[in-house]
Amino acid sequence: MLQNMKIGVRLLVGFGMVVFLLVIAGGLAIQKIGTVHSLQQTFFDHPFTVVHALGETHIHVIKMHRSMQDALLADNAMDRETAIRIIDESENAAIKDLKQVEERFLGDKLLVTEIMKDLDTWKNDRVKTIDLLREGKREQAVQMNKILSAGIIARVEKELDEMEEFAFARANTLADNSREIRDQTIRLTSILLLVAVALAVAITLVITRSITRPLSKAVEMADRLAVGDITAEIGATSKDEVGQLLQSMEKMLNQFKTMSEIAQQIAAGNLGGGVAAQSEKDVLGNALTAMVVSLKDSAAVAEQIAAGNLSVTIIPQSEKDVMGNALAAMVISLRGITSEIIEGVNVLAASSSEIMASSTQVASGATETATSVSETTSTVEEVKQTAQVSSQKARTVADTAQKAVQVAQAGRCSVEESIAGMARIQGQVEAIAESIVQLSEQSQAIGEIIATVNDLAEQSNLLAVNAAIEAAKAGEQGKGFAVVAQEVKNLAEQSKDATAQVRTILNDIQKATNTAVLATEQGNQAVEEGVRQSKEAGEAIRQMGESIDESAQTAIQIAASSQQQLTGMDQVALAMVNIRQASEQNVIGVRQVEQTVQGLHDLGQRLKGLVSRYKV
Amino acid sequence: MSEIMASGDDGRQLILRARAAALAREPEQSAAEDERIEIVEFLLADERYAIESSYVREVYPLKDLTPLPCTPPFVLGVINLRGKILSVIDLRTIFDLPDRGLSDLNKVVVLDDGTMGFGVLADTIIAARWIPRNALLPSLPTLTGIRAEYLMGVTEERLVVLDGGRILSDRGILVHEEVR
Repeated sequence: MLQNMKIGVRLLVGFGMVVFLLVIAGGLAIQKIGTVHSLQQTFFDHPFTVVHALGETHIHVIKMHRSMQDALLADNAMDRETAIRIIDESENAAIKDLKQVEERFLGDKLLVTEIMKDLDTWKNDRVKTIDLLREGKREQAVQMNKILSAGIIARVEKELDEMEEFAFARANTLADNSREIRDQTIRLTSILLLVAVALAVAITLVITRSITRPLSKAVEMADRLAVGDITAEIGATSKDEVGQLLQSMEKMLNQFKTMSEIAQQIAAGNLGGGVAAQSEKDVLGNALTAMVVSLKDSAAVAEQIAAGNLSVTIIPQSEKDVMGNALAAMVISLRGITSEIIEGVNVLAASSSEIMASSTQVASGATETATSVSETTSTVEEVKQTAQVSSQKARTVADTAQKAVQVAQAGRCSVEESIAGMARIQGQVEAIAESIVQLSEQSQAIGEIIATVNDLAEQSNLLAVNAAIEAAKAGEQGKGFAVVAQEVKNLAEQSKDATAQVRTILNDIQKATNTAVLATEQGNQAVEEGVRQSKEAGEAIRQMGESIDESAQTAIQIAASSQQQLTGMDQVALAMVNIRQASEQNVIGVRQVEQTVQGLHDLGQRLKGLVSRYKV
Repeated sequence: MSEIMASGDDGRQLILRARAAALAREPEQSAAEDERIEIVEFLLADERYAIESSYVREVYPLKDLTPLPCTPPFVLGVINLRGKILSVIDLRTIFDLPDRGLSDLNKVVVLDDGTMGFGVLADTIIAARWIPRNALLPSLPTLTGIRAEYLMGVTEERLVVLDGGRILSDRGILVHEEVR
């Protein structure tokens, strides 16, 4: 049923139901709010006002009582009169409040009348008391006040309390009623709102589903059509707007199917199939017809080109006529390519002749190369032997250099020993010089001793002369003594001669010593020179050793290099053998090339014949 | 002996003969006793002089000579001879001999005749010996003045013999000077 309704009708029905429910809920809520308001008004008019007025009355009664006390205690007339005036004002205010209470009080109004009566009684008593005061009878007045006022005030307060209690009870009742109505209202309104929301959701779901399901089917169909899929089938449809849309799409599909069959025939190359446009506005049908005509024209042109007629002219229908333009470009391009091919074939024929001549030359060159390579191989063999010899020599040189290094080290050691020996010689020469100096000093001492001996001989001589003189003086008795004196004198002279000889010898010794001192000095210098020279020699030998070390290193490197060279030469020899084989193969290859070139030349001649068929 | 041993047989014979000849020589004592005089011979400035030994008390080495001021040049100074002060004179100054050549001048010949005594400077004392009186020749005519006065005679060996008595008694040698 729902399927066959129009979409607009469906939406109206659903929204109408939801609105109806909302109206019911709103009306109920407004009615309940009115009830609550009236209750509240009652509450305000009666219990609240009455309680307030009773409280005020109570305050005024207390104030009157206090002012009465003030009047009784007042010292002067002015204070007393002020207090009496306050009493009257308070009484007026109390009566005014009580009248309001009487008007609004919902309970027994007799209570109010009684309070009024009590207040009147109190007033009369007060007037009497005040009169007594004014007359100056204070004590009587105080007494009277005590007796009269106490009872009245107690009664009034009691009555006031009773009324207040009643008013409070009334207020509580009203408040309970109000709360109950509020709870009722909230419950009812909530239920109604929930029902309305649930109904709205249900209606929305139903309507949405009834619209979206056929619509999504239509969308799916349209998507498939858009990608060119026309195999889809559309089944039974509803009578609403979506159903009409699906029927139209079915018609369109059928049309597409017909067109596609025709297009497939054209694609298969069958241009004879009849294409009938359904109406003048059938753009697709008209286009297909035009396409068939155009394709037939193009086919005719292509047949001419296939027959080798490249001079045909093609005029494209428009700038956007891709096929026509392409055919025109193809003809022009074929024309250019064919011309070039003709030229190329001519060049190819000429070139192949030249290549044939060249390859003959190459063949003879390869033969010569093979011969040269053979010679080179034998030369390399000789060079390899030379390298072997040089490598052996280099090794020998390296060994010799090693020996030279050892010899240089030995030489260095010897020089160091000789330096040490020279130092020892220096020390010994110095010792000799010292000994000679000592000898010289000792010969000096000997000289002094000789001088002493000479002196002694001289004195002995003198003694002898004196003895002779004394002997002469003694006369005949001294003759023997004279002989002794003569002998002593002889001895003294012999001593003198001996000392003279010793002195001569000593002089010789001193001369020899001086010579020796000089000689040792020279020897010392010579030794120093020797030390210096041997140090220089040591340094020279050390440098020589370093040089020899370097030479040895170099010789070892040379030996290694020549070894590498030998290896390299081996490789070169091997490579030369390979090259020789390669060049022999080369010769064979060149012969084959010659034959191939002969074939190429023949091909060029044939191509020339073929190309001459094209009309450019 | 070593000389003899060193020489050959011929040399030995020669030496032995020379010695024999020396021993066989006649002593000079043939002359009479009073004919001889004993002299002390000494060298002074390379010349040989002698003085009769009767005037010579002794010879002595020249030691600790103390020069005396304010004396004539021939007075060399004084020496201490065993506690006795003795003046020493230089004959070279008196005889005007030249001061050339090296001379030892380290001996003193002490003259004494009992009244007078002094020392005479000498280079070397040669000897005390006897000579015959007649061997003395008269003094040379070329010598004059004081040299002739002190001279006793000259021998053939050119030995100048001085007269000790005259030297000792010569008043010219006395020194008496006052210094103000």
